[in-house]
Amino acid sequence: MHSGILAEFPSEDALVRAWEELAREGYARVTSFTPYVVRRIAGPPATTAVLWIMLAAALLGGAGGYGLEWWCNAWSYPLDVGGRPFHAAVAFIPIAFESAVLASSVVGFFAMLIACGLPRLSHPVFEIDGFERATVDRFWIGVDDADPRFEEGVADALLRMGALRCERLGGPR
Amino acid sequence: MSAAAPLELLAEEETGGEPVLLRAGSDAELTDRLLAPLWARWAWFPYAIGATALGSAVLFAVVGYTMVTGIGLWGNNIPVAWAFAITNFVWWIGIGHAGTFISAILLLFEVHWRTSINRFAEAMTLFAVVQAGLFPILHLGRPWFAYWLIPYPSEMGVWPQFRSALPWDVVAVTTYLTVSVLFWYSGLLPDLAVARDRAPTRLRRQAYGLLALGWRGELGQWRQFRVVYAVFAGIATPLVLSVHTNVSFDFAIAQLPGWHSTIFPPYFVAGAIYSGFAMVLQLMIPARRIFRLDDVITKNHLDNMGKMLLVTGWVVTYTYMLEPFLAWYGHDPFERFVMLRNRPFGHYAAVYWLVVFCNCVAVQALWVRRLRTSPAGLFVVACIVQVGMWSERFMLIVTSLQRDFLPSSWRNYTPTWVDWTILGGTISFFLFLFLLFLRVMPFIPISELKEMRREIVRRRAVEAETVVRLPLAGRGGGRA
Amino acid sequence: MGAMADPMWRGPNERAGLGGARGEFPDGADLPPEVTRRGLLQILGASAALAGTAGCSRGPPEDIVPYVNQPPEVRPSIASRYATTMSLGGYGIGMIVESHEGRPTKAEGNPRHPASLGALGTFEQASVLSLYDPARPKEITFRGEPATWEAFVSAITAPQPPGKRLHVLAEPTGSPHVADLVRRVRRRGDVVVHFWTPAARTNAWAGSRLAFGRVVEPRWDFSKADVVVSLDADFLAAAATPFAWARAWAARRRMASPADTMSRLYVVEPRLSVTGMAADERLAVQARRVREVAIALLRGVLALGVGEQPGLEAARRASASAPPSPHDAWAGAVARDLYAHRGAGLVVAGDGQPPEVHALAHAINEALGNAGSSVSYGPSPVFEAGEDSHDPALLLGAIDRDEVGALVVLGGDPVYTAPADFEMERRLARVPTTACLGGRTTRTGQACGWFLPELHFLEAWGDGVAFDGTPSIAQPLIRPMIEGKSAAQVLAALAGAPGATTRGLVEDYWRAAATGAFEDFWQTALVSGVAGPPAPHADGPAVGWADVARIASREPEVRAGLEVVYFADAKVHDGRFADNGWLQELPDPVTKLTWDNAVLVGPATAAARKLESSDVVDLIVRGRTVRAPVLVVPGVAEGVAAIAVGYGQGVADRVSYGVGADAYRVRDSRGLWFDDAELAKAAGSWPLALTQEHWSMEGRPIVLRETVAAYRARPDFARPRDARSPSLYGLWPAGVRQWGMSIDLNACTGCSACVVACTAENNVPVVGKIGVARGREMHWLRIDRYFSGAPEAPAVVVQPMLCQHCEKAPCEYVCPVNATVHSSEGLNEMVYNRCVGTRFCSNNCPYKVRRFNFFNYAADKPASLRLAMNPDVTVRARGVMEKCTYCVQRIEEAEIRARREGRPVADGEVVTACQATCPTGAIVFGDIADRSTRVSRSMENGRLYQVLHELGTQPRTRYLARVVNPNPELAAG
Repeated sequence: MHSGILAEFPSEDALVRAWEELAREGYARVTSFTPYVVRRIAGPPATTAVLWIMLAAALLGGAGGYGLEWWCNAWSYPLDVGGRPFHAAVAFIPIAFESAVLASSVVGFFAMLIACGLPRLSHPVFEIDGFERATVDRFWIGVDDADPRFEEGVADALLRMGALRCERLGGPR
Repeated sequence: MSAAAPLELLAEEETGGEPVLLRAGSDAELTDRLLAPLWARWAWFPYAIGATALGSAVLFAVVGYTMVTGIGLWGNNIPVAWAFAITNFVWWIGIGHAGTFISAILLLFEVHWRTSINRFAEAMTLFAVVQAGLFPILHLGRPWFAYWLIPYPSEMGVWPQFRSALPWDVVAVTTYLTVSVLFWYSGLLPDLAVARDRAPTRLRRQAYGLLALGWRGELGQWRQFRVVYAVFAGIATPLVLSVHTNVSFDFAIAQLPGWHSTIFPPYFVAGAIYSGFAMVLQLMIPARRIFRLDDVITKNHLDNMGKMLLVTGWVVTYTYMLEPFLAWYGHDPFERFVMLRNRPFGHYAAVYWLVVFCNCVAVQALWVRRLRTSPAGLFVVACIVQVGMWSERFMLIVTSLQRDFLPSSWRNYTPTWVDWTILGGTISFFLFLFLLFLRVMPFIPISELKEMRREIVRRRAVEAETVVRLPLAGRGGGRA
Repeated sequence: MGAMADPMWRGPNERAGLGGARGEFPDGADLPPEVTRRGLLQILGASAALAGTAGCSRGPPEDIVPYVNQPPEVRPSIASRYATTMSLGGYGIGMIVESHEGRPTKAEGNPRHPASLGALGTFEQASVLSLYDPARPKEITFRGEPATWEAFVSAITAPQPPGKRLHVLAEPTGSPHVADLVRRVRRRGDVVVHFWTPAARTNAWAGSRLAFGRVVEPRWDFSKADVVVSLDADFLAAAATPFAWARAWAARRRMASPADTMSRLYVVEPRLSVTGMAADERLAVQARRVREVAIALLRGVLALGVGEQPGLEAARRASASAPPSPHDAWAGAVARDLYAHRGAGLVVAGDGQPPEVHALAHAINEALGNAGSSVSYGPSPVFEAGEDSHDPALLLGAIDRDEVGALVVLGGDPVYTAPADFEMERRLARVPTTACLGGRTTRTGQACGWFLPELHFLEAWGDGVAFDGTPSIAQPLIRPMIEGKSAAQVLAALAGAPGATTRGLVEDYWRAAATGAFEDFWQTALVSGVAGPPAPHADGPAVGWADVARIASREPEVRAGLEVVYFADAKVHDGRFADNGWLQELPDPVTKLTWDNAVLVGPATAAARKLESSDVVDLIVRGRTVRAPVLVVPGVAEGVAAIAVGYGQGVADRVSYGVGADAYRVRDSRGLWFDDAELAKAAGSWPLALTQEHWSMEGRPIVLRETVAAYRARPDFARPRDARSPSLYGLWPAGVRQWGMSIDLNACTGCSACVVACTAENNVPVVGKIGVARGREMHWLRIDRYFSGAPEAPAVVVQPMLCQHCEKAPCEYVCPVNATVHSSEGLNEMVYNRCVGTRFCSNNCPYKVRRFNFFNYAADKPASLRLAMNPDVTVRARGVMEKCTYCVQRIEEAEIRARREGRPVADGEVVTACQATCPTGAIVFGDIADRSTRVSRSMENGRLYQVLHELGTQPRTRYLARVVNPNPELAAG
């Protein structure tokens, strides 16, 4: 999120309570900033688009690797090597496998960064002082002002829910 | 067991008392405790880094000397055309297997005690693979043409020959290195962010800021992160197994008696993890003492690592027993000669028996729990195993080449000072890199530990009585 | 199979069971590179000497006539071949030398020459390299200062003071024009000419005189011999023996079919020789006891009652009365065998044996009626053979009486090679004027006032005479690279013709000697390499039985104790080839020792004296001592310490410097060939560079060996090892031609001529002692030698091992960069430029025939030695693999020629270097796809098998199993 209300909570439990309340009130565009993944709000691991991308990369990489071997040894410049066949399928497997792994992990890594919106060295939230504790021992909830239910009042609500303080991220519309 | 696993950290009788996870009053305290080494001044560091830097310099000097003069400087001959270089290669790449094994496979099995040591192990992996990577190039007669093993469109129009195991190696090792780096780095991201936010000076803040790529711990990021990280683990697992399998193919696809064997892949993988674990211990135990981490890397870690060592040790022992049996059972005279006569009683018999002692006999001491939990004892055993595993590779390679089919070409091999220097050089270059890593990187995963602490605290709240330790659970973790 | 049945035992080096070589070798690699390189340079011959070699890119000044229809002018990249002659010990051998742009590079035998028949030995081939030796002296010197030819001539031709005369000490020569010059010089009256060489055949000549009353040379015809008995005669490989003998001997060993008859070879000898390795029955005795065996033989033969020649009865009685010898039983069996093959047997005696033994051999041959059938006699080609001029005592006496005003040494190195009791150096000092003609800086050269560089035989005109009297011309292939003279020119100077050219001298002689039109004679002589017919047989010289009786009856003084046996080395001969890197690095045919000589002792002797290989001993003969390494060699007779002469030459800056031990230092004229001796173990160890450290076949079917009887019973006993092994993949579509090679282990004697041929043809680098010791010798073709049976009387087998050009080559599929691949003609090709040097191919080669350039050997060669290189063969860089190519350059040459002439390559058109030079024709090469070729026919033999057949490599180099012909009587007991 880039603008909205940020509320700082002292503990994971407080964060979770506030999170559930906001959900009951029907807030949709809510996010959190936590030192570690809070399973109770993150929910179970879900299949993301990144995974499909990685799968595709693996298949392409494997096929590419095998294809390259075939093209080199059986098509572009076939040579009688120890009386072995040009297209030595068994011998081509290891490289095919390795290139599948290589492709999918390289692609996967960058896909993940993009999905995470990284690298992004400057972000509005970093402007808020004290936010650096979000990676240490503070739990922040952010309500995006693009949320249809959003109104500035939510800050008070968050404070009522036990937030230590609220910060306005970006100017109000 | 996975549920109980974190609790084993409670099962702790060490003088260090409660593990830091519980002793630390708050997340902040825990964080600072774990980041402390990064900000502290280490009086001994300049000496250590200086010494290893010097060693590395010697390494590169001798490597340059070899490049200029030719590998005739080594002891190699015909028939023993491979010797130290390939031995070192297999040994280092093997060591490089423990890291990924610990962080990937143990992660999949949800063996939580892995958490405190996995970053450590991963870093070790990287640096070991770097050492290994040196040799396939250096051992070439014409190293400056090493790139001919890579398919690139050339004037000659010739391509690599993919029926040979060597191109497989090239791809396997490079893949392994790349994946390990990515796996290690993505795991580092949240902790780099922590380091950024806790950094005392502006410079460090910026440095870690750059490395952290602007990690914010936002919900969406965490969701993507944990999925992809898990999948990486999933991919890395077969990769680990495949890499040393490929390395073993360098020998298995040859028809040399003593090399031409189908049990090589599992044999090599087991040996790799064996020496890998040994190396983790060799690095972990001193670090644990230097940085007083006995409440992070607890005796249970030592205990479990010891068990892993014992297990892999037995797998290796089993293959040692299997090889001669297969030779005897297979009735191949050449095979029989190498396995039943040359190795145990030949010119290098001493090496063979050293291997048996180090890898099969010495490790049995780990049946004793007191030894498993005593850092000193475990360290000694690890060192013995390390020597044993290096010697095993030497034995495999040299005793097979030195006595092959035609007795007329039989010859022995004697290493030269250049051979020894290169081996020693890689060791100090490895330590050099590792010290740098310790100095600048958070080598204990912070956010994972916090999450785990959270788990424990909650579990405590739930079942207040289980504050008593759970020795069973404690060991349960080890069996993963 | 016989060999496999034998109890296998490992070489003495392998005492520790599998314990590999005794003692580690020095770490060559421990030296800093410059030292290593200096080592290499020293090996290859000191500093580069281009000065003299500048001229050699130009052709010879006089027009010399190509061998076959070659274009008269030198065409770039097209080699021309010229016939010429090399003489060793006075016996000429015809050769054809290949020349590239005026550079002689490769010597091969001349098929038309009776001594060669197309074959050449190690010396003749390697002598080409000596031509380019950078350490060759280049200018005339007087007391070390540069001097002129004119000054020398005036100094030497100055009239001698009264009572003094000019003495010339030359090497024995067969050269007609030199002989003529000697006669001319003698006419001066004040000149005495002596002939001497350390490995002379004086004993043989004396023996002939003893038996026949005159000097004749036996002309053995082994092809007519069913039974051959060698009394310490290495007639298959010793220096200066005609290769015709080996060829003829092999003709009776072929066994193309079980029906063929096979000769039986008995050898009596003190040390294991090449001939001994080929023996069917071998008796190892001390050299001094060979005489007993000879007498026992004579007794046995005469006892069987032969002929009724006058005086024979006396000899029979005499021999019968001779004291019994422990070898009577053996000799008796041999005698019966000889008797059974009367007229088809041969008894030959070696140069190292005293005249009596030669006489006895002649007598036995005559008694059996072999004379005239399997042996005939002719005049010796050596000038004044067996006459006083060959007796060094005359010269020594003259010196001691101060009758020698000047001494001119023509070739050789008497100061170094003469028996110690000659005290040559001291005696030389007594002579006012001394001069030495030498091709190398010799100790004699240093001791003499005048030194004249001698022209290499490829630089000067000359002539020679073969063992059977066939004359031939020696034409130079290159303009002299040094300011040198030939022996003939020096003699001419003494005879008053100082300005004579070598060509002038030769032409003048033949102009007078030749019958018919000189021009035609000259042309044919040069083109064919043969200048006339052999000398006619001497009409049946009769054995003087009275003398034989005297010899037979004489009480042989039986002395106990150790005996030293000297022999001319297989690599450096009497030392004259010691600066030749090819020969120094050539493994000794028997011991596989390089870059050294050693005291060879048998296992029993070694055990008795607690000696092991590489131990250091003091060899003590008549109070003189030389320190040498020990090498334990099976088959050396008990109580014998054999040592090769020609090593330990102390002249610095030469390849030979510091190589081996100098046996001449203890050699005494009273015991020239064998003598009483003592061995005293000294401290320390002397590393020996052996190319084969393990001597047992480990019971593996590598060299198949059968008795002739068993072979006749099962003619195809080897066949199972030739069957095509099953393969997952089919065979590859065959190209037009399919090259293949067969090697007949029955014919191969292990003489190692092929190894030198390969070295010369393929620019195989020399790596030096440390290189060999480290296991880095580069020979593409090696000769494996295995022992089996009892260590004292081992069965020996040899096997040339080269790239097998496997159909399913294990080396190929492991190469990551396609650097070694298969050609459509079945060659296993090595692409040097593509090789990155992983060495995986060598690891996976079951035959270990691949060689690796651990250093930049080729580049470290002195420039002048590079001139000896074959331009048709790539020079390999550092870090690449290399191996036998089946002489692909020769294949290509033939194919290009055939293509140009629009015809298929004919059978026998492609001849590999090893095949070309093999004296016994054991190697056959050609197209195996065509059933009609020689190689295909040779492969129809039932003895055909593949080495390591079980691996399914399907080699193209295949072997014909060895068949031996032991004497059943001896086998029985």
